[in-house]
Amino acid sequence: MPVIMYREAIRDALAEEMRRDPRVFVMGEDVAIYGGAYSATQGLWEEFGDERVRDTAISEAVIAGAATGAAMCGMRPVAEIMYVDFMTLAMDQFVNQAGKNRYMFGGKTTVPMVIRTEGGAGRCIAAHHSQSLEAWFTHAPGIFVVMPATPYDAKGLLKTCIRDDNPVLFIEHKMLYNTKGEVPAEEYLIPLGQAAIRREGDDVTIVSYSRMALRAEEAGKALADSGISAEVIDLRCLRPLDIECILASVRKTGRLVVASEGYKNSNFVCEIIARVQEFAFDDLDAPIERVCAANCPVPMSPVLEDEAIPRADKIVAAAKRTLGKA
Amino acid sequence: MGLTMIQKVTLPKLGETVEKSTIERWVKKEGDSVATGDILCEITTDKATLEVESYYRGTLLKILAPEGVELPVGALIAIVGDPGEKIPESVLAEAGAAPAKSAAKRAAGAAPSAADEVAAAAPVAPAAAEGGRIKVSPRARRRARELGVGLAGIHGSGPGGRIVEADVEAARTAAAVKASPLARKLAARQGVDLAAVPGTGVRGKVMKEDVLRAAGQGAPPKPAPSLVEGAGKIVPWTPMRRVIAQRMLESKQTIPCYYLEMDADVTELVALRTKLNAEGGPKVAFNDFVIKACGKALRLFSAVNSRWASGGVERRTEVNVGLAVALDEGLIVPVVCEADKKSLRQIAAETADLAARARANRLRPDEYQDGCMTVTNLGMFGIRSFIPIVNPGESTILGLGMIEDRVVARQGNIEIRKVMTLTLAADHRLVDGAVGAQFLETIRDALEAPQKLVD
Repeated sequence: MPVIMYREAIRDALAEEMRRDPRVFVMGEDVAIYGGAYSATQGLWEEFGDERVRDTAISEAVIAGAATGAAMCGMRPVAEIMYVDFMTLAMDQFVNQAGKNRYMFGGKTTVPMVIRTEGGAGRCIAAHHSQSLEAWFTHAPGIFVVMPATPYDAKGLLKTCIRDDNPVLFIEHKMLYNTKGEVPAEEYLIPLGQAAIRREGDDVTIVSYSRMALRAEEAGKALADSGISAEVIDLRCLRPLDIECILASVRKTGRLVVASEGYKNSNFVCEIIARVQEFAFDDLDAPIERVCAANCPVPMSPVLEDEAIPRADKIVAAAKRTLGKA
Repeated sequence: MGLTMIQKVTLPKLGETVEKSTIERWVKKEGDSVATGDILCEITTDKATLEVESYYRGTLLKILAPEGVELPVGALIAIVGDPGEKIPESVLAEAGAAPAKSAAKRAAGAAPSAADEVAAAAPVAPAAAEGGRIKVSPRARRRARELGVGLAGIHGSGPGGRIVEADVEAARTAAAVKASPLARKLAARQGVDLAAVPGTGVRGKVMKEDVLRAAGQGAPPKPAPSLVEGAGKIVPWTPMRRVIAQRMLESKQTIPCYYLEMDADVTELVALRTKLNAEGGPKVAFNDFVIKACGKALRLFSAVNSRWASGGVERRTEVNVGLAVALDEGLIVPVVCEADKKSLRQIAAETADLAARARANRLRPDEYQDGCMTVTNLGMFGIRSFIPIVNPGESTILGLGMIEDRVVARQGNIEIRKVMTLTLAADHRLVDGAVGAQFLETIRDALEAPQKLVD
């Protein structure tokens, strides 16, 4: 099976969908001639030209607003916001217009658009370029939020998102772009709202997503060396959320650790914790542990950044705490 | 608090399903120096004796677990450190108990360090605290309700000293053990598993001295008085006897077996074996031919090479054949893996090695687990045929009787041939009669055309 990079998987998904459906087009800052700040759209402009791969002005509000309008007029735009940190400038267009128009127009319109963006720390580019802001968007009705951790998931999920008639926020991770994985050459789609169990286990459940899911897998291996059998779940999609997968696991293990790169306060994982205690209270054998980033702007110093963003060993420690093995 | 350089030695988990082990013998004594890799002690698990190596270098400062007492995996058994180093009281208090005991000292704001581990250990106590409110997890509470077990007095091993599901399960097992109230209280306080304590009271009741001894603090046991109900003395079960009893009972109670008997004409097999053994190399036994024949048959009959699993029938991909080996104090079944792929001579070399190590109690757990079927032979004792018991986890077992000269009718003539009776016991959930019969027939045919088994 071919082994390709995460960013190549994204580019391939875009190219395949653009070949398949002439309404699909790409727009964003430096996506065309430059091929994308992280090379995710490299080669597309050469194949599809100016009309379908469009460099925009440096205005996130314009990017999101134009994409919303185009989608309502029958196109299927895939717009790129270079850093999720800049979604702040696109919020009204994306959350209030794109997210709510189908409802507010009584179904007379749909907004089949995808905003691709990326977040996450690891490059020491500090507070405005390293955040994980998915919690803001999972909170808003009318929007789906997808966060793949592997090249296989990135391709399968992006294609599904492009074919979905809803506005979707597809959040990539800057540190995953050059990671490699097996991706079939034949076409495949991954449905939304389906988590992936990366490791089966009986003692404790670890739930995570995006780059933190890879750290959770590392934690699972380290725990196995200590004789602790962890079940590691990669959500892949935050909204819709595969709560059944999580609940089934917690019913088996009785213990839960949730991990995310977002700030600890009001992190998306709080939604998981709330639902687990709501639907599986009597299955819990220990309080749920939360492993998240520190409640401070992401530092620029490499040492501080490494401490502010959870490492695998912090997940290991949290899992051990649920077992009373502090 | 300064950093301490002591290293804790805990009872390792050797084998997937091992929960408890007993220290057979301390090889090193207190005060001996220890290098990384030195053997500290020998421990027994279900069926085998294994050596525990030291990860640390230094002096064995203190032995915290006595020989002959069953302890949970992970229990603190010794301390290695620099000579003359002081061992904190809190560490000594952890001796012999399973590791999940640190009282909740959530290090909120404190930097993690070796000092935290030492500070956090506290004497073991039941979870009732602060005005009588018992700390129990929701899951444990539900389990206690299901089992009808009271929560008061149960020792909590979860985070914050909370009672968790495992504690409720342990309490239920403990409740079934006959023990004096004082012994029960003492066991709960010391974190000793009552079910594992041999009792020397009337009718085997566990008394305070027995619990103290189990916790490493008592005098050696007085000989048990003879009881009215038996003329003889009660000898406590060895771990092996307990496992054999539990598994054989489970088999008889849960596996619906039927039995097929077939005679195999092994005249040619006997001659072939004599010829092969005259050629030199590892001696081939009759069992080795049978193992090979069974291996090939298992590969052909996927329904027989299967296991009853939750949700379905697990079709095994590998073919592992076990051979029952009698030991002084019981029996064990070492397994020849991939018996269908190995040559007869390879199987012969392997069974000789496995049997020798089995008798010396030197088998590794992975060498007696995961069999697909068992071959058992009582022919050497003059048994003509017998009805064997299927090992749980397998679908069939083949019993071999004595090879003897018998008068048989062959093509209208009376002849004397060497004949062995095969008895196959099969689990009818997995193997229907016709399938079992064909399976046994395949094995019989292979033994009657033994040249094909040699490669």
